[in-house]
Amino acid sequence: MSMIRLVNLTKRFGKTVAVKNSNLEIEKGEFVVFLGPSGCGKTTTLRCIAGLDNPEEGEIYIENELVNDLPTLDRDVGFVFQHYALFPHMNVLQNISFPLRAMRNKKSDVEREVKKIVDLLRIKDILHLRPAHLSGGDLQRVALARALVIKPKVFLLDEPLSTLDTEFREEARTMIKRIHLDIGSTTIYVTHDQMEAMAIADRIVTMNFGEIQQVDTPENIYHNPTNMFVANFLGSPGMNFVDCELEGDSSLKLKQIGKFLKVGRTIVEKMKSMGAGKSFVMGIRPEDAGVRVKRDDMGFDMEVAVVEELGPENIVNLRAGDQIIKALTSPDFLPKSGDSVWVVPDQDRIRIFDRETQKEIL
Amino acid sequence: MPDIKLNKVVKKFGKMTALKEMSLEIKNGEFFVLVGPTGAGKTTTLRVVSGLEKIDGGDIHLDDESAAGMSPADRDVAFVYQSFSLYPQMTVRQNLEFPLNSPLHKEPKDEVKKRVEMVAQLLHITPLLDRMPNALSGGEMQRVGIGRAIVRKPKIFLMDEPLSDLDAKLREELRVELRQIQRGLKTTTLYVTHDQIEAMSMGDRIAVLNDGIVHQIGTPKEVYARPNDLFVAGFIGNPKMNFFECSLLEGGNALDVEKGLIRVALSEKGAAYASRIPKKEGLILGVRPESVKIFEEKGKTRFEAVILFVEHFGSMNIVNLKIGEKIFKSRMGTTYRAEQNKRLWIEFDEERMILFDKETGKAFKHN
Amino acid sequence: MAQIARKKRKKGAKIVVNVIIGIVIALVFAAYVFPIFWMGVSSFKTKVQIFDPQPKLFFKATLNNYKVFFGVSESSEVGAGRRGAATSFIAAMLRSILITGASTFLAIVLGTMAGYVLSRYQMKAKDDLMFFILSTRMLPPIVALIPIYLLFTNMGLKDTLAAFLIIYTNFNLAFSVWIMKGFFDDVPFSFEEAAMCDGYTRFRAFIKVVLPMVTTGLAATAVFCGILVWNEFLFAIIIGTRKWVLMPPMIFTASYGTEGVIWGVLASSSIIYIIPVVVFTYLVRKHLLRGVTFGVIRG
Repeated sequence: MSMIRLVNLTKRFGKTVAVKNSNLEIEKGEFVVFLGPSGCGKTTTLRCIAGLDNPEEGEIYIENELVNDLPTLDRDVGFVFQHYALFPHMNVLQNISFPLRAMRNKKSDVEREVKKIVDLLRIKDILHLRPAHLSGGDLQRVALARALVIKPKVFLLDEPLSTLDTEFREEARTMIKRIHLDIGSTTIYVTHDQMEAMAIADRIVTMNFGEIQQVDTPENIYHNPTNMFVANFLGSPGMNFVDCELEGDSSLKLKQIGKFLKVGRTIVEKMKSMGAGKSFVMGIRPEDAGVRVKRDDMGFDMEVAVVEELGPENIVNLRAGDQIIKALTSPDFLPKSGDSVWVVPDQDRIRIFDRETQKEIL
Repeated sequence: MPDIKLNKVVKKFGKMTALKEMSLEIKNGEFFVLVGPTGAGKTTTLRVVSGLEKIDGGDIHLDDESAAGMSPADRDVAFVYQSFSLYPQMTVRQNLEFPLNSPLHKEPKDEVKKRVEMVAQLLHITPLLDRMPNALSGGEMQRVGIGRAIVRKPKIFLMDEPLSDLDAKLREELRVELRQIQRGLKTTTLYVTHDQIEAMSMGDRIAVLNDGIVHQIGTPKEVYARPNDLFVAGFIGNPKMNFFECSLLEGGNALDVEKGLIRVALSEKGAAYASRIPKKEGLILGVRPESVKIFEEKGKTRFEAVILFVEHFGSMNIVNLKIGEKIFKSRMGTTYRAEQNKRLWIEFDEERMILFDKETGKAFKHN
Repeated sequence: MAQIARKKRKKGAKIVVNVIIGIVIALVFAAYVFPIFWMGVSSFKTKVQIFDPQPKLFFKATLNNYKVFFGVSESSEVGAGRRGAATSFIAAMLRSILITGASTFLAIVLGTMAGYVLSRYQMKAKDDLMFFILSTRMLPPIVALIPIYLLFTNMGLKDTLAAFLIIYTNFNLAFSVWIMKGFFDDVPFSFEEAAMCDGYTRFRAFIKVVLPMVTTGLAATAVFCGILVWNEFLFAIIIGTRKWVLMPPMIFTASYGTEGVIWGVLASSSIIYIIPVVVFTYLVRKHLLRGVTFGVIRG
């Protein structure tokens, strides 16, 4: 039995369809990340699961119980808002105790559960302070505590790290994962940052324009994207795309660059089997671009536009006309603007997409 | 385009001193990034340069002319804010025209039209010109914000975390674009961010700030490879640099790391570096994750550690290693695979190791 | 989760609750609207029809009450109720419009400028100052009635335009300042800063950038203050004795005839008096609903 099940979920705001016909199953104890750009429907889906928004169509099941008509407080979910939504006129202890007291629990029970969560999140020292006097990191812990104190079946987080400085995000995200494991909750985490998603997710649900694109483990989504959106969204920088067509039996003609790339038989055969008149796009990730100075006829040459030195690695931006290819190299690789370098893509990592459907064909 | 000189600038807000004798020099046409955590004083520095805040000590010179008494308009600066400051009651076009119609500029009508259209093209927002700001996405709003700063052709750009509110993907795109635009315009730019990747990718030079004090100024590469102190070393670089407690062993040819847990043998070069350090005890060894090498076999300079877990980030894998109670990270390529609890042999890249004084935090530089 | 209590509601209960809420809302709405509706209906009735113990849904309507209002015909009952020579309903109405408009305009202009300053500038006793301004409205006006009357009489201000402007603007300033300050607080200062960097003076930045953003505040203040002055009776009847007879006192006294209250004329003049306010509020409704930054600033 899955913990959470969405069946044909659709949510509209006026004329805009925020969530389109979503179907999803989440297992108990899973840490699932909803990933996508702003406006893709990830937060809306989360809010529908919580009961903060009501879908126009479709059903939501939590532990096989249809919850569409259940108000939020009866769904047994803990929600952490992007901007925390802590009550400013109450101190930390009152904020955390609030959910339990609102449900009319005995004072001793409230105290016991609050103590447990305070110990777990290590916030004993700030219990008497008000939100206005807390740092970003502390605010986040308090928001987490308030959501978890009711021991929810489902733990929902809406971009919880977006308000933190980058240097604190790693720590905070590790803490969230640790708590998830300690409590054994089922967690849904919403973010637009693909690095975050890769780091903590058991499975990632990628979304765009209200539709679920691909649901899989981070590794699979990264190495086997089903369409161009997923391929480009994951990875920093995202996958490079080059319009191409089959040339003969063993090469791709790379349009716009005007060069040829030798490819293996599997690719050639798959492309042929798609039928005549199809246009294709070749995809290769920056780290698989195999950029080098020495000539190699298995690849093609391109001109260097600009090199970004990031410290542990460099991003070499290559240009041919309007086409740009980004390559990740070691920090020692430092060609100058205008130099010519050779791009020899890792054959195992080349992806081919149908230009029209944007789907991956291999 | 002017250069900007801050000389021992002090700024107080009530009892709190936001800027403590800050000295900076930004060259003509440079893209200079101020990076540091929230509250470090970066925004304050920006506002002081713009003239929107007055300083309590020190002086500021723009092109060798004292800026004291000069209003923001006189200084010819344009601000780009983090939270979009487009005038909501005007269309995009009117927003872009607004700076040019100010009492100070009063450009003729056709010149205004020409400039607005040129800027719109540069930022790819021509189709949005007749829309209202509330119909734009976050990225589009920020482009218009940048456009409004450019359209005046000011002498100085001041940008206060303009990309922070945007999606991660959008940030990547815009940061390259923004940099290219600035390169084309050659306007002196002071850019503030808390994201060190932005600083590394965009800056000609960067200044690392904390608590109102400048810790280091240099090119991104310099700051990365030769940090001045523990703060800079820990702040720049993702994942963070690994820090180990250590001391120099008798004989000067090995480091005792983490109180005897690890023994790092030093080569001749390494020993020479270590010998120049006045302290032998109370040191911190800093090794970046990409300088932590993993091997299957034993080696003279290698020590054993166990894999805690591996984080897969697509293009890189971060291996979390444990020895004793100490956890540290190694950065491996996309193809690296290993199981939990596997025992492996670790070696530090000696040339990239840096020793710090634990007490003062200062780094001992290689020569 | 046996230890933690949960509140579970039955599903059917939700429908019942909604129905009850619906009924309550309908009743409250009716209670507000019915008197106005009744007044409107009565304005088309003769005295006999008004006093009909069994009011009929369909009756023979008469326009006579309205004719009296516009001075076209004289009501047989009107007599000593009329005060002085310079009184007709229309004249009183025009005076009310003038005074309401002028005092509201003054309150908005002064209140907006004060609100802006209080919002933007630091000053030592700002909170105390704000409280003081608010405190001018804590006194029930009727308590000040006699002192004001004596003061104005001694100053020769009795029955003058100036008196009305002074007293009504004063009433409205407290609200105006508080409402406008609140709206200005919601406009981030970066808007003016950006304009100042561009070369605009603070004042021009205020006019061109900030003011258009707070039109909701201006509309709310105008409606609120306008209605307050429009309906004001107490000071109107005490100060406006002869020349400056305003509509509320006018309706009151001119509807009192030789045989008691002329209900028909009372109704018709009241209905006509409501119309300008309704029209004005309708015209500014878009601004009232808008919100400060047009939804641009998020999060």
